[in-house]
Amino acid sequence: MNAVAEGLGQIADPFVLLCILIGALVGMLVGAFPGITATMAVALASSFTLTMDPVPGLAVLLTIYVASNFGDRVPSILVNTPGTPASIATTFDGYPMAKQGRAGVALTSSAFASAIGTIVGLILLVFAAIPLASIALRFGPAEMFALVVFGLTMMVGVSGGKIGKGLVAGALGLALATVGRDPITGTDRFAFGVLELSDGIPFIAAIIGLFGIADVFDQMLTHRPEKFQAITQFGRWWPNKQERRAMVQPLAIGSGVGAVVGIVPAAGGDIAGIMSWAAAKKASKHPEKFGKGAIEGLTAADTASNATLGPSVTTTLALGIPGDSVMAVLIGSLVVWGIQPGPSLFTTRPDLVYTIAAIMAIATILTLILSLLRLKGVTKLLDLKPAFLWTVIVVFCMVGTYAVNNSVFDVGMMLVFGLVGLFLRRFGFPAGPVVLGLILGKLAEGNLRRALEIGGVENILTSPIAMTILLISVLAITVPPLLARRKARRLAAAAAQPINTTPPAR
Amino acid sequence: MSVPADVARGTESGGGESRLHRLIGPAAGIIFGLVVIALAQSIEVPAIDTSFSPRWWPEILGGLIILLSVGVAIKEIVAPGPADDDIESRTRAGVIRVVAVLVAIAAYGVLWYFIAFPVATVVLFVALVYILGARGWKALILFPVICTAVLYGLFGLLLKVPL
Repeated sequence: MNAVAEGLGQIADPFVLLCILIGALVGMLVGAFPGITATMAVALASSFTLTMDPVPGLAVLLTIYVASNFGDRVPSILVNTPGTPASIATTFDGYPMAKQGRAGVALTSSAFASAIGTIVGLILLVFAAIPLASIALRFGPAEMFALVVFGLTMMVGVSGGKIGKGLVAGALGLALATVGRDPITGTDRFAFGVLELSDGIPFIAAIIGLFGIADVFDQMLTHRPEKFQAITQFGRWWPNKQERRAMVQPLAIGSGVGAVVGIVPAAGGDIAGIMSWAAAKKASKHPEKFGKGAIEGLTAADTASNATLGPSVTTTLALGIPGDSVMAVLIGSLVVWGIQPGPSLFTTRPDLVYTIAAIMAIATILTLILSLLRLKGVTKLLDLKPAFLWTVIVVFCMVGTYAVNNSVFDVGMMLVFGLVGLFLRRFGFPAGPVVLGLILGKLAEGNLRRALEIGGVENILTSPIAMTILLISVLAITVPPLLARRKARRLAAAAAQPINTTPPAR
Repeated sequence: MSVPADVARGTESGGGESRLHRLIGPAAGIIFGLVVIALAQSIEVPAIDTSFSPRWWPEILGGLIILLSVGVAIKEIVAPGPADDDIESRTRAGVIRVVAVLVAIAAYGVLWYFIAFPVATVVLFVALVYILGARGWKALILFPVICTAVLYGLFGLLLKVPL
């Protein structure tokens, strides 16, 4: 009870509430601009928040995380362009609804579905984080190494048909994490006498480069002038009784799918939204309406996408393995603040789980209210010339990176990582596993070496927990391509069937 | 799991990536792995003998990167998949834009060394906005001045960053 009171007491500070308000406004804007992802925004904001105390800093970062998952629904519904990847499935039914003159209902339903999804996820965070951490506390070096491998392979496993490239990217991240002091002996590695590298690659600079600069450079490379055909007729705003009733089943499906997907390391709202949309379609009495403006489809997608937020935070704090790419960035900030996410966090700071849940709950309510304001003005924002947006992002990335350590070296590293990120992107290598490898590299190496020094390979092979986790990791990267191949074979067979129209001879 | 037809169609678009283009990524991976292994040889081994030297993990990772990159290269040669739909084709103007932005940033680095942050940053904003195609006094004067004032206020005055 003390931890609950202490945790909630920390957000009673008016400055923290102001930080939540700022985070909500920034997050809504970030989400509403296609091209600025929540990861990029949180990475950039971390350069500001590192100078703050942890709780106000967390209030800004977590609120941006929550609010961007509301704001991104607006362009998905109004211009058929997801504001962030998490709202891909929103376009399936949101845009068709808007084209039918039901944009107002789509926006309002989406806001409520997103809020309910987030709250369900937060309930899971409050009740699951500490028990999960207690289980993980019993983990030794072998199990911790297996957990790191699990986190990496899950991120690679969910990166679509890029498993080989995802693994290369993960290994690249692990290799980059070897820069600095050896975790066991303290010997300098790959620092080349550069003082700034003796503690390793500056993490915030690397992620701002990989997610911020690389994204903007890629947009500059590929941009072709186009004009958004935004919806201007919004129709009525509140769903009627029939529509409200139709939302109940998809809300339940979305909450369930989102909670399960969210707890899996590295799997985020984009996957949950698509899976939930498909599950709701299967369960619906009118599956033929999905993709053509069904409020059930929109509700299922948005509920699930936001229901991943709480579970993602749970995985991040309880296991020290990022729940999604935004959480990977958040871990960087937590470490700088002296808070080491992982199983032991809740024995030293049990109040933190309640502080975080309360911040996210307030952020959800505040963002819901902002979302219910008539959002016609947001369509005007989409007309903003990219030249202004790109310029602001580039300069803020540079000054923000400099501000972390007052170091020009960090700015140079950020630009180098921007170019590395651009190269990876242009040649189809996902950047997520690089960041994950960079974060988890020292943990992986330290635990593997300790496990091997304590009892050799047998130490890992004889641990049922480590072996189970490693087996799941192997399945995570082998099963998706096998299933994809099977599906392709089945589709090819189905396509070939109509050619053979002659009935078999008896 | 099915998705709307227009979304599903998107994953099949593209094509036209040459084999050489597909092999650049894995080739870079192989070179990087070799560099890691070569550089690992320069890591000092501590006088106290341990089961695993500080070179051990980087060497393993270098080897792993090479192995995985070779695997990706073989797949690209033997069974190339459809072109990656996430990768949009670049434009000639885009390449010029990125190079010009990098040059402007490099010049800013030099300029900031000699003149005050606000002046150098206004110049950078003007240069970037011009390179990226915006014109007019609002874009080239008002926007840079306002943005620099916000940056200076936020970092220099509020967060006390020595700019």
